[in-house]
Amino acid sequence: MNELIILDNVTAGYNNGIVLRDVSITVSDQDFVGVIGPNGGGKTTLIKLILGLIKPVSGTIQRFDNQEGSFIGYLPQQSHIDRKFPITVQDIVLSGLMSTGKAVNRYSSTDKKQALDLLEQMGISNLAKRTTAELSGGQLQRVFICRALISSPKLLILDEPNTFVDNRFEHEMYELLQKFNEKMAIMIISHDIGTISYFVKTIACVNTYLHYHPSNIITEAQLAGYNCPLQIITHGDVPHTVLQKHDHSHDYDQEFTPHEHTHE
Amino acid sequence: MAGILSFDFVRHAIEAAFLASITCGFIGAYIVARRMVFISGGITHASFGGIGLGYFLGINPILGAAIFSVLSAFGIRLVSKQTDIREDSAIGILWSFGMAVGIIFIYLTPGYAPNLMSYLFGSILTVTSTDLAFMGTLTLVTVAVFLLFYRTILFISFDEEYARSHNAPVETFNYLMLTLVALVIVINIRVAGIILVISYLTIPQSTANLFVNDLKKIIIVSMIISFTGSMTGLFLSYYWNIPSGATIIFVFVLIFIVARALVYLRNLKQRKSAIAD
Repeated sequence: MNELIILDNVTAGYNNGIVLRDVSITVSDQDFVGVIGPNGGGKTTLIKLILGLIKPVSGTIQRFDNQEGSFIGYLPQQSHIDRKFPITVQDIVLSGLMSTGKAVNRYSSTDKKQALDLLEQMGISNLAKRTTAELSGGQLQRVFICRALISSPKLLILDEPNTFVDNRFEHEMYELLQKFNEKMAIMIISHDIGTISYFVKTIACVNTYLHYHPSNIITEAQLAGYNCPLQIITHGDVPHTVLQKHDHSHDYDQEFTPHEHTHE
Repeated sequence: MAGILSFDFVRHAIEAAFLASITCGFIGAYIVARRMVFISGGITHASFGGIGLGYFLGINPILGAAIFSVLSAFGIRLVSKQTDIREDSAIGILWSFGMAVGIIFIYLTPGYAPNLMSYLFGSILTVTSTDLAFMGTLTLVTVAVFLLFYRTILFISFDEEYARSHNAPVETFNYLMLTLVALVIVINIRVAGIILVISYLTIPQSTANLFVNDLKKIIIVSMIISFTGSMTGLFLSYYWNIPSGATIIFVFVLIFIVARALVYLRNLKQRKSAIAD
């Protein structure tokens, strides 16, 4: 197992205060980490640290980055994208090859073919010449996955990938991610631990502090112990195992055995 | 028709319109795509302060305007980034401040009162060979920047955060492009004037955007619309003896309205045939 990223005792924040304290986590290849936590708990700050978008106040971040092109593929939240921006799908995918520190970016026909191949794999090669305004949320998400994958990253980071996506594609996406996981490490941010716990291998709960949970089964009692104020809710028709039995006597409307169900 | 081409000022006007169409095609498409129309309006008006200062100090007013517009462009960015003043408020402040400074300096300048109307509404018919040389140089710079860095400009504009995560020189490019925006605005003040330069940067691009959706195509189509509109406006203003700058803009808006109507009719037809199916 090769380590890709090591955060050691990292504290980080913005002008108006500290958001993350004493965070240590190691991500190695083959990892599939679910990052959960409440809004404002520091999930996005953790991602920004790993991407190098912000610098830590204290602590160290090591990146074992020895490849050409981008070492991290990143799927941002869709909300910050201007859907009316005049850019074609093919250009968005190619932007994933934007090379480090270089100002002149030109693409060979091999690059273009690779972009089309990826779109083909996602079943949307017919959209290559379309622009973002013409795409559905699920289609745009596939385009962004292609952009993240085109540089063959060692680590793929997804920030709330299920926000604008319909249920059917959500399920498909998780299956794709499991396939990608054979070749790269994955970190996925979600507020929906019920769904992601089925797919991820480990869970990191971020709420100012980071608690690393070395399996994908997590109970409400553990969450409470981590001071992670999340409710475990199961929903949708995405199959998911949830939660082992625990000794709470609350009358939550959830079951504590592996199950499949659908409700609106 | 051929007769009017024998006048030097007419040929200069046509050349100026051609160069303006090229620079505004590139920069206008960038501004419209990035939703920077308001900041461009602010830069345009702030540059009037530089024109006033130029007269007061006895230097070329366009040089004064160039300095003022670049500084105000950077000022708006820095102030909104580093302080809690919001960007649109910063634009409003610099917009009016520039105009005020311009008026005060021109008032304080002794003797000759310059023709302010030509700076407010443009005077494409009095463009000199020196102006054309400036415009030509800036056109070459703009073309070079876009040919070399088109992809980087496109990607940074579309998703700045993603570009940052790839270590792309985001800040360098934002300031480079802001400088280019400011300079293109100032140079085109000679042609379209402070009040109307914004329309050169937005109307042909918005018209192009009705038909094409790719930045590259918007640039090319808007150049064609710009030049055609400028020529039509120029000749109409010549025959009707009305101000040329205002006529050009009037033609731009007419083209936009006709194009929008065509798109509306096309969509209506498509919907009808879709229902008929």
